[in-house]
Amino acid sequence: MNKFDKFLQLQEQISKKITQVKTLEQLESIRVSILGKKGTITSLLKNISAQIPEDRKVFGEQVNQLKRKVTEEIDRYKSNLLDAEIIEKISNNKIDVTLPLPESGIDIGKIHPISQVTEEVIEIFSDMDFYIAEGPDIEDEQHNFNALNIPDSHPARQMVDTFYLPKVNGESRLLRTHTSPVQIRTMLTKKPPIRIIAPGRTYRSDSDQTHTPMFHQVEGLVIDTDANMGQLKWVLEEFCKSFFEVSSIKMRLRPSYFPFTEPSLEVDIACHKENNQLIVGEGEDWLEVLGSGMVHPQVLRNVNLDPKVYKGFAFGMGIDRLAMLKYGMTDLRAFFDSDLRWLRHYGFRAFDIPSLSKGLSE
Amino acid sequence: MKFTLSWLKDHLDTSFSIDGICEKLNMIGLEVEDIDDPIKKYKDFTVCQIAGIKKHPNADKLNLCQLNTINGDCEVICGADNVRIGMKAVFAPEGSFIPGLGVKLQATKIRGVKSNGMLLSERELLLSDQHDGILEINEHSKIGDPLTNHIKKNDPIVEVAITPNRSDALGVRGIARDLSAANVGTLKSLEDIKLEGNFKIEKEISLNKDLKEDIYASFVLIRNVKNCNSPLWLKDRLEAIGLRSINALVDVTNYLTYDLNRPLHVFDYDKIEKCLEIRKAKKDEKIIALDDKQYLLDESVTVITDEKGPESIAGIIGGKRTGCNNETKNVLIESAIWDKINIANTGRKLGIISDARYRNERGIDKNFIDDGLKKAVEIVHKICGGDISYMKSIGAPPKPYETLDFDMDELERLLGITFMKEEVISILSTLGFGIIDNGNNLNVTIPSWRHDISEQACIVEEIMRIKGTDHIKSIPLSKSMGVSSRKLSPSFKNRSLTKRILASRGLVETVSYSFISDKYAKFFNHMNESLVLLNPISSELNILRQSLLPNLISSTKKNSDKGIKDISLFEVSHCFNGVGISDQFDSAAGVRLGRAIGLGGAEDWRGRGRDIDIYDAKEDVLVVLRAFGIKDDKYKITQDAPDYYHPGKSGVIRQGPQNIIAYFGEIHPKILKGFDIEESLCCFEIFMDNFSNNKKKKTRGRDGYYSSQFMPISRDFAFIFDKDINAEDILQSIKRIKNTMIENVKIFDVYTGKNIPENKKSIGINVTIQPHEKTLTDKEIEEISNMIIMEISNKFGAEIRA
Repeated sequence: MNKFDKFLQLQEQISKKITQVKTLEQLESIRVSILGKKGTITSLLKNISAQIPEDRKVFGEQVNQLKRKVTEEIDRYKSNLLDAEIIEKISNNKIDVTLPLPESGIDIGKIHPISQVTEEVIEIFSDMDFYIAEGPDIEDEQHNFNALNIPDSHPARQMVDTFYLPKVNGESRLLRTHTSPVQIRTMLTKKPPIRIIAPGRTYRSDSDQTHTPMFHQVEGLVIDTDANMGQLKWVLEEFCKSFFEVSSIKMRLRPSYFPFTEPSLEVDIACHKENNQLIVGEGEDWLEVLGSGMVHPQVLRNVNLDPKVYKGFAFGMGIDRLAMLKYGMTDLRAFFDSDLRWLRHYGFRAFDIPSLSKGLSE
Repeated sequence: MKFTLSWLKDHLDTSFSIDGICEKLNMIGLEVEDIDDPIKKYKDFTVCQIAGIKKHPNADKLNLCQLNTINGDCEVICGADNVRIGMKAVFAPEGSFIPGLGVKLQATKIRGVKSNGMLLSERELLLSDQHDGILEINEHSKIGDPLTNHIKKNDPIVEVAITPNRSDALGVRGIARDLSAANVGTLKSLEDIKLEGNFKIEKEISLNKDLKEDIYASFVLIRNVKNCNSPLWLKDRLEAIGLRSINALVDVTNYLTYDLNRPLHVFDYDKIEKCLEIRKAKKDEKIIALDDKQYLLDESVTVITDEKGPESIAGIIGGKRTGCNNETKNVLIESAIWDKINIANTGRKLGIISDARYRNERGIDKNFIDDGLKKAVEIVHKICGGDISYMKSIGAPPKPYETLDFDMDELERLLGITFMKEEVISILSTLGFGIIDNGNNLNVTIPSWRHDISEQACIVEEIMRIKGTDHIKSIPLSKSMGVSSRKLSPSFKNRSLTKRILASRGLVETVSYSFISDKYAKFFNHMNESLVLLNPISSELNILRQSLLPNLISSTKKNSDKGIKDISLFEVSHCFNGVGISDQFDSAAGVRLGRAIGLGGAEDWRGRGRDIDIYDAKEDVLVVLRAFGIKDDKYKITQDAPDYYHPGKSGVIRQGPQNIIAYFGEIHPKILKGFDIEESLCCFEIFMDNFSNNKKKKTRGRDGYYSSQFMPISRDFAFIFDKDINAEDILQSIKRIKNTMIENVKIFDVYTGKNIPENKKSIGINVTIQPHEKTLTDKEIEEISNMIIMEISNKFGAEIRA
């Protein structure tokens, strides 16, 4: 037997003791009995100097190695015991994680479909370089009718039922019946080229399932030296495709009449029903979505633009109607009823901000 | 405007189907609103024969009829009394649509017995109101024969929406002309009518000298007519388009109104007192019109009068006194052209809607006054006989034709496509335009029936609609070079941002009408007379709003009445202080009721939650302000909100003494009473237009970042203050202490009650001290603490609590 074999034996004995330990206290008392002031290994360390010189070096190495191994083992075992203690402690801490939580503000709050769709429309037209213009809700006959080539006696004046307010200094005041007066205001204040859309509230004295005394329109106007019907068609096609988020759309331009455009067109898009859901873009039925045309030369003259130099096109559509077609509401009146359940059902989340780069309604 | 296919074919030679015609009408600007095509409507219905009849085992009034039908033998249940063996009737199979019931026939069991179809009555077929029994078909008809072979009403009826510019299409002939131009057929020519008059009208007919308007009127008298019911062809036509047949004389005028767009009037000549004069009405003259209503006239109205007074409102409606009935012996027929604007104004003023007004105010054919009259005389004479007078005309006939020069380049300029000149000339010619070809320039004569052609763009429209809009090619709009710039106005952006911030705090956006009830406006002292609508749709919506709150409060009430407890609503829109452009202002307002849901106050298994209080409303405002870069030190809060707020529980946020940017608080209980609301409501109003934070910085760069490496120290203080000292003042005075190490001042506790004297309150304040250069010693910290204590106790007479 090698004279250093006793260190190996000693290590085995200590290991054995440690593995039998159950508590931190027992482990501590073992540590003291081995590494404490009077501990087994401590005594061996003290004995190094008592060895014969040729043994001293090896003896010292052996004792220190033993000490290191034992210390490591004790530490490891201590850590295990501590972990076990934590595990034991939290073993009864289980909770029911299936308990439900109330919705937070971001879930409950909603943006009205009209706001959402208005922003969708703006996003699309911005991409085609249209600026957003606005005008007042309270207008006069000059901006709402006369300048738009709708003189007092014009039968078209009876096409709309106008809300009137008391006159101011003999001048009429009315609630605008369309967003078209913004065209006039823009042309009077800005030099061509002009490219605007004007979303906003409009008013007509009408009320049934498809008419409310207030509704929303968006008006578009392009004035330039080279504007033409082909561009109008392109703008409307691009808009409809983008708005309804389809790659192609079947569209029909029907000649029509508006006093402020000549020639005038109404635009229908194809649609069909599938499982009671309206599918826009293809099908055998037609949906009227907007009115448009080349700006009437008389309107240009009314805002001091020479129709021989400038041309333009204009279009107008109902924002509420666009919302209904895209998102499936059936009753226009509900838009303005402030019924919380309806608003929560059809509303949008605060962070659903329309953006073309992300996909309009994704 | 309605017409039938056979009527159209009076004027148009065409082989197009009804669907083909309607498709074309849509594409040339005559929008088809409805097609009532019996062939389609009745396609499932065929003749059957009743082979046997049994009583229904479980119902006394019902019979089981054995039928021989196109599909073989079957049994149906029928409740009609007139069923009998051998009778021929109309069989509707399962799955067919019954027009009079508006339903698709489903296989059903009636009292336990299956019915395999249905026998139809006239009403169920929409042939008449008759519902006494099932419709009986001629006994010689064959089983399986289509129903349409056995009924008269098999002429398709088309309804077209005519735009106000196209008065010429208010007659069937005008529609036929458009269709012929669009290659749907050939327009038949109108026969020239030679009128053989043989006596003069005795009673004088004159035009008042003082009449300023251009008027032209022609009259023919037919003596010894025999007025009667109209012949069947005439009756059927009128009834098909929804007009009631009255008598031959009246029916002829209605017929020509729709056939040739030539409104006419017939007088019973014997009822005319002495003479006829066309003049302006006198003030307060009255007339009882053919609609049995009395109208009060004035000097603006043109009338046809006799010695007894007005007997017809010119071009709008005839008078009852001289109207024709079955006893009429001598009839005077009038055909005229009136002043369009006068007709429009009079019609609107008197509120009369008539076929004559509709056409006369839009403009009728200027060259078809006498010829139209001749046509009427011809038909009346054919039906009623009699002796025809010479024609009597008064006034000057209008100039029938205008011309204009049309530059061919205008087509490409406006439409973006080029056209062959021959094609343009061909289209215009078939529409009735006269053309002189001067090379690139066409001298165009406008047809006498077109009142909508005033300039070159109008000609472009004609070419476009007839050629077809599908020829227009999409041309991309040019885009600006480079990256796109900002497109939204600041106010639009502000509204949009505000909406999304508020929605993120659990508020739900509403969009409500801009007008409210004056009842609510009164509660808010918002009765501005200039904002009251003169013609409101109802008294609930009769004044423009000066605040968004009335609608929000009333919506809260409506939702609460539906059993919804926790309500948080907002609206962002404009309101009005007056009718000027600058009186319109943007506002964002919200109302909250119930639990503070969305703000961590919802009721759940952790607790009952908490109710909304005014500090939630205040926070709604502040979150918006911060999003706009308005930090807490950039405004002042005062306690002088408008009267509709609770005087003690409301605040005003100002940037500068005159510039109010928001209100928040509880609504005054007396206003809530008006809305029938018992709970307290917390609300806010924000005025984005008033924000003054928009100083544009030169760069987007932010201030340099600095962070101290020393630990911050936190110290709590509690003082006893007088009750009406404002927290804001306390915080400000600490912040103003000249020590850069005082970094953050917070209130962590407000307490009144036990151990605190009445009229006093205890406020706990937490101050963060941030050393910048070294760790502070206890003594240095104490010095700062003492500074704070001195400041507070000196300024507010507050006492530090032990």
